[in-house]
Amino acid sequence: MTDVIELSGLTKAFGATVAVAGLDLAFAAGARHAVIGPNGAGKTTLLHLISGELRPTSGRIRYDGRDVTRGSRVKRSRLGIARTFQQPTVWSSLSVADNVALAAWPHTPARGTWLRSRYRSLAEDCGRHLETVGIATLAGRPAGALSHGERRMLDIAMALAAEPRVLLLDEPAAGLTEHGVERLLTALRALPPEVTVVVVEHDFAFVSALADTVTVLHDGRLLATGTPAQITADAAVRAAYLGDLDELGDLDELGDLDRVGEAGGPHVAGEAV
Amino acid sequence: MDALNAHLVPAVDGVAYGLLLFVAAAGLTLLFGIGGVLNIAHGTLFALGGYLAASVSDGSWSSAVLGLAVAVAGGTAGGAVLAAGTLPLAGRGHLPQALRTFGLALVGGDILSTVYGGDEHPVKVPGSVNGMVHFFGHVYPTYRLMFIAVAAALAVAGSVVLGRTRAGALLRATADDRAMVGAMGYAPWRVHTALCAAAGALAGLAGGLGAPIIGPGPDTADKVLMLSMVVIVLGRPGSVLGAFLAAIAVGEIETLGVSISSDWAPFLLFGMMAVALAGRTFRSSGVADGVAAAPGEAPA
Amino acid sequence: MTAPTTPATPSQDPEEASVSQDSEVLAAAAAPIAGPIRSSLASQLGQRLALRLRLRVAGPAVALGVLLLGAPSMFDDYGIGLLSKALALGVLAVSVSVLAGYAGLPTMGQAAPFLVGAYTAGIMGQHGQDLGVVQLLCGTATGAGFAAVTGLVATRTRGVAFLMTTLAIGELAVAVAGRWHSLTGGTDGMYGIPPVRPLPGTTQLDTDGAVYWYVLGACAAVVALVWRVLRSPVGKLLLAGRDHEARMRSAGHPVAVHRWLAYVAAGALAGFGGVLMCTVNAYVSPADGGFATSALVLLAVVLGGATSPLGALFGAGLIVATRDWLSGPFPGHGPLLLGLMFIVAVYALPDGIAGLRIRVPRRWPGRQRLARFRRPQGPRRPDQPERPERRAGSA
Repeated sequence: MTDVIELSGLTKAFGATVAVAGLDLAFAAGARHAVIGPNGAGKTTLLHLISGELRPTSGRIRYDGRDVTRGSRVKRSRLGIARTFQQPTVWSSLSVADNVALAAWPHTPARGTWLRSRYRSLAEDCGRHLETVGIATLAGRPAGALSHGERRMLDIAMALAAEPRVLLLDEPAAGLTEHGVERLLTALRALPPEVTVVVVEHDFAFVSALADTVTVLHDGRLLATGTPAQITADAAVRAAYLGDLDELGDLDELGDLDRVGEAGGPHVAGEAV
Repeated sequence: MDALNAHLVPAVDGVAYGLLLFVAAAGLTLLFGIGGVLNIAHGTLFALGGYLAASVSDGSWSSAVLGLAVAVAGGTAGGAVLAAGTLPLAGRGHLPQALRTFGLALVGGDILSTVYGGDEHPVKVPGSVNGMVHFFGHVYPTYRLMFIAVAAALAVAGSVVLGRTRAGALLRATADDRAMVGAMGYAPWRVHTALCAAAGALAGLAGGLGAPIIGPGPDTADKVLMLSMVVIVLGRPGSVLGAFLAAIAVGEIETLGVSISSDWAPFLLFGMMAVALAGRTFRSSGVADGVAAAPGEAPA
Repeated sequence: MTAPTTPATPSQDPEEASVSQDSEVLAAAAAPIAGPIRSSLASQLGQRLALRLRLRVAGPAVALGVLLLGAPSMFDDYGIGLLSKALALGVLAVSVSVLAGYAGLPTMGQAAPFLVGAYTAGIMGQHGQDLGVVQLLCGTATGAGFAAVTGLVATRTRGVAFLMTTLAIGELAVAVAGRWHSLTGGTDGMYGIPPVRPLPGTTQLDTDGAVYWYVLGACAAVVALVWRVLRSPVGKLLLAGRDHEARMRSAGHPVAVHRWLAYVAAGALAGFGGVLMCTVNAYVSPADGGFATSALVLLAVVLGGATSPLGALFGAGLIVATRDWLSGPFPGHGPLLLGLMFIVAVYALPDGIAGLRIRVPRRWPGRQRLARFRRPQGPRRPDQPERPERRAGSA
């Protein structure tokens, strides 16, 4: 499998705070890849760097082999990277259907979408995305009037409407009911196999249900990569999440992540440290 | 040598003008950055200070000092009116408050022009500072030099107050988190009123002190408002040095630029804004498609 | 989650979209009064009211139309002249409403392209070109050109910085107009501009009544065009960019270009209005582009409702009429009256300016210090999404 996204030496610092430090990570095409880690690990920052909301302090981002580190957010969206947000963001003055249509607009080949007739057919077309996430009945509602859960579904529908090659999801299950999570999983499983899905999540059940690869971040660094089962079993991951100090000695050792990968970088979960 | 001489005085003028703008813009920034009020009546308060100082001072030192005191008092009173006007709208955001101050500016401007008429009111400066100073073979207007010294002292004093005193700490805290300051026991309306009064006092002081430089007249309010806003937009948000340099630059354009070519000065001002704002998008670090921030925001 | 009472169809009719927009605005206006009513209920209420709103909007529009058409028989020459002025300013007010309401860029500098358009017409008139259509076309073009150049600078800023920048641009334009004697006649202004011939083959407009019909026709045509464009997907682009610009970029829209285009279009509109003003007054001076004019049209937009071109027209008329009516007993105090109207109007319209807010660009995590420019959180209105409260160290 080829890697659709490659990150090398990716670093992002906000003044003295280093959110992401020297990350080397690759996302395979068609993968269902989850990124987890404790608060402050840099997960959302990572998504921002990939989608283009933030520019890295140093390092490279490759998309399909092409260097896009300098590319703007708009350009990366046009390349097929779509995302949702930790706080679902929608255009509140417009209706739900308009929100999805507008999200799909830059990705439609049709010229002149600003003509009412073309726009209308685009909006109709986008109805299926609303159905996928289950809010088709709300199509006429102003997006500002939606509840949190509905808004999150709309956010996801907007990302889907862009028919992306890479879908970045930032804590999509947060605040959803069980039924909502089920719906979300169904929608994600129904995606075409070529689409790469990168999910940042805290809900490990969700992660296990969806992902085939899990990456753990800690303090902006890569801690471990592997299948969900391997990650659950990994001692270093447990220590990072649970602070199991007896296992790894005192705080200094815990903070010094270079020790974690003494054999040369972050390890694959399950291998002896 | 003559050309240098001819341009030297305007150049020094420019520094004085710039410092005046710096002090004036500081009042505007204070109120906006911390109080959240865009004060469009700022120029009117400046003009008020100028008019009051001009009408009181008659050439003697005592009247000059009195004039200044009256200017500050007038500005403070104006600030209090501002506070009263904008307080009921405090919860509704920037624009309603700005519109309120717009209304107050129009009313104030009309009152000023009714009371003082449509002519310029040159202020009488005490004789000892009304002359020229000879320095290394060049002549400089004394008042300008004195003003530079005073304004610089003010700027230093201001940064000391802001940085080292409790009141200053309170101000900075209000800028960061007003609700928290409220929770600390400082009633928001008191803080708001104090801010408005302080900004008014600053504007009045600037108007009174700077009256020999920017005299009170029918156009003063609009001009000072516009220039203050240009200074704020030009200055790097959050950076005092940036605002200072911007003020000096604008001051130089308004004096040196006008003396070189008075027709092109407005274009020069606009051009400078263009350059500064164009440059800003490339300098923003960490934002993929740089957005020029509203003044006062933390830099990226 | 209560189900909506009105069955909404998945395929979105733009007309329905406008209904839901209106309902949303209504819900927003109703929210402070509604208080503890849940947001969903308020929006349902809004949807039911929206149908009545359409009648309520159509009503005043028709009334306005009747008034304007019947004016020559109702008013004397002075009144007709005043109405013509109000219409010209109304076009300027429409341009402000496009920028402030739809594009989310409250502005105080639209009087600048207005002035540019007026001077264009004046110069053309003085040099023998008195065809109305040609003057209108050229004035629109120069207004647009002026906005295109200044827009490159102005649209780099947002919110309050934009307000300040446009104010500065307006003042600079007035300063240039005052100094450029050879072109503009300086601060004395340009007078002796010959009356206009609307179309080739028609006679000059030499009565107040004739000028009125010309101005009315031009104004109606341009406002109808603007209304149509704003109702189309273009309007949606502007609204979305206003609501959440960063999300637009995330979706792939070149929002900066949209903003600049909106600014240019508004400049064209303002230029159009300026030509009309020149035709009405037969005189142009730098004062036409100054503070007071910008204040007047901003107030008109505030009164008439930010996203309604018709409302802006209405507001302009209201202000011109009130000012004239009040200037009888209080001559020479135009600014004072305008200022008082401002102070009162802003206070007396609790959410009449619901659609008009200075929008601080929404930022992503990392910009925590933005908090101080947010409005203090009141009860959340249904049209406001939750603000992402960023704390250091999250994710």
